[in-house]
Amino acid sequence: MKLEARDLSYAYPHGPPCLHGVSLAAGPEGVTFLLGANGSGKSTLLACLAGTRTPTAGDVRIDGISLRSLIPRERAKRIGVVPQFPDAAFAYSVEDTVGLGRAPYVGLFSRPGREDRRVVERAIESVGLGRLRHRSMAHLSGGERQLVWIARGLAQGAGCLLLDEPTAHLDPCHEQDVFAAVGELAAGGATFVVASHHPETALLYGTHVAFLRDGTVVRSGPAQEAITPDALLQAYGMEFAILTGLAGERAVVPTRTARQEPPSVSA
Amino acid sequence: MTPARRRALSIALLSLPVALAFAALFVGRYGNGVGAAFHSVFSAGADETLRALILRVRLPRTLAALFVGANLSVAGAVLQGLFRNPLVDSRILGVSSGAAFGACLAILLTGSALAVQVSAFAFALLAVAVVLAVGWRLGATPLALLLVGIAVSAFFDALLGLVKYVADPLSKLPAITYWLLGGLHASRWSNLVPLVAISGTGLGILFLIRWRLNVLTLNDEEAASLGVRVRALRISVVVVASLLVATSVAQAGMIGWIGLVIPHVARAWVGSDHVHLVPASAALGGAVLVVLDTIARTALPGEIPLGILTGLLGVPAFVLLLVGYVRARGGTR
Repeated sequence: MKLEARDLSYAYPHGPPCLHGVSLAAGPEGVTFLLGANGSGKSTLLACLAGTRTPTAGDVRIDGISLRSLIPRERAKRIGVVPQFPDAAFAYSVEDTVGLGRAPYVGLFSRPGREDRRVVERAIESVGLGRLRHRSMAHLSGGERQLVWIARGLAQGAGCLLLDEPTAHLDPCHEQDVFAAVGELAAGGATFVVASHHPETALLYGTHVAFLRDGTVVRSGPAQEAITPDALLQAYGMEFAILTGLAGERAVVPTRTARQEPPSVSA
Repeated sequence: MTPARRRALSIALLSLPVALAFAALFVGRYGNGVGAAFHSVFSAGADETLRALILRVRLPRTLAALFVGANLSVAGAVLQGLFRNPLVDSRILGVSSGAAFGACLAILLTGSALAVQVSAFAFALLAVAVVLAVGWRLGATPLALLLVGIAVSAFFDALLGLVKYVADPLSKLPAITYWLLGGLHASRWSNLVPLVAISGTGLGILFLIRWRLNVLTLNDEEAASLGVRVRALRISVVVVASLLVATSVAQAGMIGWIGLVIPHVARAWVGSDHVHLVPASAALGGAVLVVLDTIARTALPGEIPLGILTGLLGVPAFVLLLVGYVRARGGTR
């Protein structure tokens, strides 16, 4: 699915504007990273892309259809969200959590039926958690939980999944597990948009990136080309080095330089 | 839990209140034991007084216990989920305080049983209407509703204090105190219709939407991303739960702890999924209140107020639950 934002602006009620004129395209497949420092507007942009916040100006389109014209249920069948701090007050099983993804398909007075349960099962299998189906969410590792929430998005039937800092609390090997699953699903035709603080993650697992600073996209492009020391300086206001290993693998490393005012957008 | 085991547990849980309620009909201080009571109902020409007592007094009273218990615990379970807070109980949102003030005001002004019931119900609705009106303006978030609920509760508690302060200490004040302690002694066929009608409708609605209630336990943006109209659904559920509590308090006075403890017991048995939690809470709540009410009317020559019994048994149950919970998690955090 192709997700496009056109000239998107957003301001919180009684607050200053935090997105201005953001234009962005993700998909029809691949993993697009939104990179930027804390407070650069990534989570707000994600909420606008998800349709859970209505932009003050501009439009978001999924496969050419404006989100404004879709009722919440129809929107949820196209776009799924893995929020930054998903929490349920009471622990459900993996199966029940993924089952919540069927909400757009199940009537107010009914429950998921046999077909819904089949979809849920497929979603759980596709992130490799079949053996944990009956386990309580309280007894999963952070990485496994992320996979459950991704599976919930898949059970939603959403061709486009938005992930907010999915690996913020994960060690590198669990991060790899999550992005291995994401990469596989993306190769199967799903579109992912991932908000992240970490450019090194984007370089490893992203196909495209967009850098945000102060609510504006300052650079964007294919990950391997767009992640440059220059772009990183512009987005984060600090120096990064990009190192190349013996086998040609590349890594982003922050260097110990004083923080500086980022160069202006036109630089 | 396997589906087969869960089904067996559900059948056992659902038959529990029915069996207990049936048994409770034949237990009482009047008559010569359970056998005679059973005989009086099912054999012609047996003790007619006992038969009348069972059919006209114990039966409506037991039905009231079933519905009040089910209402309070289902409302507690649903509100705990909705507010994502295990410490919430059915008295949150000012419903109970509003009802208590309404009832005591009616006792002060008239003393008619019907007026007490109607006034309790009306002020319970007034309290929740204020909570919803103010809470809606604050975005209808769980925190806003909870805070406004606490404030409205405190306001009606103060009004209740005022009623007690001006009440005649020889005639009205004891009646107010007795009402506040809760009890089902006034339940008769003649005053049972509102309880049965509202409980039947409210419990039916919550039963039908029980799967969707799971979505409300997620945070707002998550629930919205699943295509759910969060605010409208949350407000509707609050209204239904409040009606259940209001009609229960109007019928039985202040009965604490059921709405807090029973949902946790039910959750420990059937899990957090509302599909199983709602019926389990209803069954357990009904069963427990039938047992407590039977103790209340038989243990001593005089009636023990139900609110005292639920507190005496509810508090130890709560502490045991808490100990189990803390042990399972290895600490209070």
